[in-house]
Amino acid sequence: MSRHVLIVEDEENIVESLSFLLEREGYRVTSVLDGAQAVPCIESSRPDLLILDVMLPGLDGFEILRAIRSNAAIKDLPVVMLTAKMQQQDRRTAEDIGANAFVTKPFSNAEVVSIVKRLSP
Amino acid sequence: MATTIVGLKIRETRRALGISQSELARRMGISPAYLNLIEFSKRRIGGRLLKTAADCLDLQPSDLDGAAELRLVNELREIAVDPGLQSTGVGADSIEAFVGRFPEWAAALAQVHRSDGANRELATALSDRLNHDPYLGDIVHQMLTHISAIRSTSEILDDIQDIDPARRERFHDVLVAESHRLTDVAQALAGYFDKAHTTARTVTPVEEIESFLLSNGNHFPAIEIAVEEIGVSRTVADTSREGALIAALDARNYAIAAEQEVPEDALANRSAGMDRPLSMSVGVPRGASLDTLARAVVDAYMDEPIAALLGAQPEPVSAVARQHITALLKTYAADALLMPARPFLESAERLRYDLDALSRSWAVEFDGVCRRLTAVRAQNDGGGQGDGGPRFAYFACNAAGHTIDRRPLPDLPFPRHGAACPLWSIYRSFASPETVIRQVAHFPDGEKMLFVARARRIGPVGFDLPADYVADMIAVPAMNAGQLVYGDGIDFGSRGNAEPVGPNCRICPREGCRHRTDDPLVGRFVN
Repeated sequence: MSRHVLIVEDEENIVESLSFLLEREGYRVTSVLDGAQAVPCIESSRPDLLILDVMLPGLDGFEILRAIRSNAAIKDLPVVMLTAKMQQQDRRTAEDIGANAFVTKPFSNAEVVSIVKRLSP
Repeated sequence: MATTIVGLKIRETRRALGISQSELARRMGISPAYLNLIEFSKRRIGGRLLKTAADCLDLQPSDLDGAAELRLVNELREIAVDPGLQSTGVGADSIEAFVGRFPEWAAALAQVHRSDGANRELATALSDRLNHDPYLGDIVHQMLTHISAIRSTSEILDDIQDIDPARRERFHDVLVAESHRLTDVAQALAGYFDKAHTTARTVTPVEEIESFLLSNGNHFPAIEIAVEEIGVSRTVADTSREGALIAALDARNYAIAAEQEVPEDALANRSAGMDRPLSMSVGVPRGASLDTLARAVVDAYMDEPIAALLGAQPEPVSAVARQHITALLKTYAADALLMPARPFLESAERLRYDLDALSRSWAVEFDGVCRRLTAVRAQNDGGGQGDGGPRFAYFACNAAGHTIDRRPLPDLPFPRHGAACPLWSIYRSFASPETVIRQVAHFPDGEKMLFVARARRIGPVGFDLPADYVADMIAVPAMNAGQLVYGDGIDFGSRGNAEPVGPNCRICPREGCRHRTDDPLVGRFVN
């Protein structure tokens, strides 16, 4: 069965291009646009990897990551953070909470694909 | 520490009073050797001896105890350890000698250092504000998001060949949609800085005046209407103008008299609101008398409309700028009185904007014609970019090159202070006064302007009187030059008569210009 990637991102066009790329690599891709729905969706669909935007309506990416890491059932989920902020502080915060990788917008497709392949081969 | 200052101060004061060391020692009742030790800070001085020293030097003990100097010394100690100043070799050991010998210079240095510190703090606060501005942060986030979508989608379209046509079309639609959204965000960002530019910045009066003129397009309909209502401006350039101006003054109880022949009773009646005197030299040239009359009519009639116009400005006007703008609007009103818009424009078009000919036929000085041309065109087409005739900017400077008057155009950067590029024809016009010279100015950004300049004598003319000149210049975009008599026979093409000039050295990118007098403000330019 193919590996499942969940994208939590409120920009539909970014979701569309990432989905297209990862599906070509053989992944099954689903997405949610609203931060508040992310954790329930992870609990029910149990993805193999999460691509998580930092700036989200509802609940921001750091809060979602904290919730994941403190939830015994899903705490080992590999998480790739996406952010448009280039501040060092954001990267440190993400690493402290336990992000597995950090991608800065605007990203290159190859970068995202290679990170996903590394974390969820 | 204070002791050091006291010793130095005793020595400096003693020398200033012309008293020898042994004489002061005698008056203080101590040995010259001991005074010597005090003066060179080898012995402390205090208590009664300090008071004695102060008495002998005609000072208060507080003048000698060095409290003020001590503060200064402490301040200079901070300067001495400033990391930015270590390369100068300044050291803490010479501070007391410096304060003792040159207290004014020491105070000046401390003051400069304080103001430098305040400016640095301000710069930090401003850059902090930019870094932490939530609106800016949000807008940058939005831009990066749209750019991410565009980059990711275009990489897909570029790298992947086997996309089914429907999907490919969908990605093209995304590109179009995202680039539109990016445009909107970028425009919002530009608008934000525009707004910050006009509201949040502390502006100088010169900038305020400039912004006032530009935002009104050098044209003030309220003044034009108020001037028309006085009833003078309906008359054309004929002899009746003088009569109409005098009639307008009569209506406000002015009594016209030749200079130095003002009747005593006229002066006496002035406060009673009766006859107000207007003194005029007998035998002045007609233009000068018209100008005097017009300015008197403006004084008599235009205070209210001008105050109303200033009150109606969307941006608050500072007190200093208000004074300048009031004077500027009075000049504007006087010009409008003497050169009513419609007939003046007709005559300008007929004469193909020949400035000398206009000056002659309207009996107005050259600068008045230039100023009026910057205003009437805007009226013709409502200030837009339509076919309302040439757009004029006006610029005047004195013989030192200092800007004395300006009516800017948005696309022509006249310097606000000091001089422009020395290659501008306005500066050359001083070499051949009262003669119009023209120039096709080719700016580094490719813009071409037609410059028409002429130096005008100011002040009384007579034997043994100095001949002082100021220079006037109008500038017209090259595309309009054909409508001017000055555009005749000029080749505006790339190999034509255009002369490379700059705005001014600080912002000019032309490298290797032998007229450069100042380094460019930003980076190194490549020509």
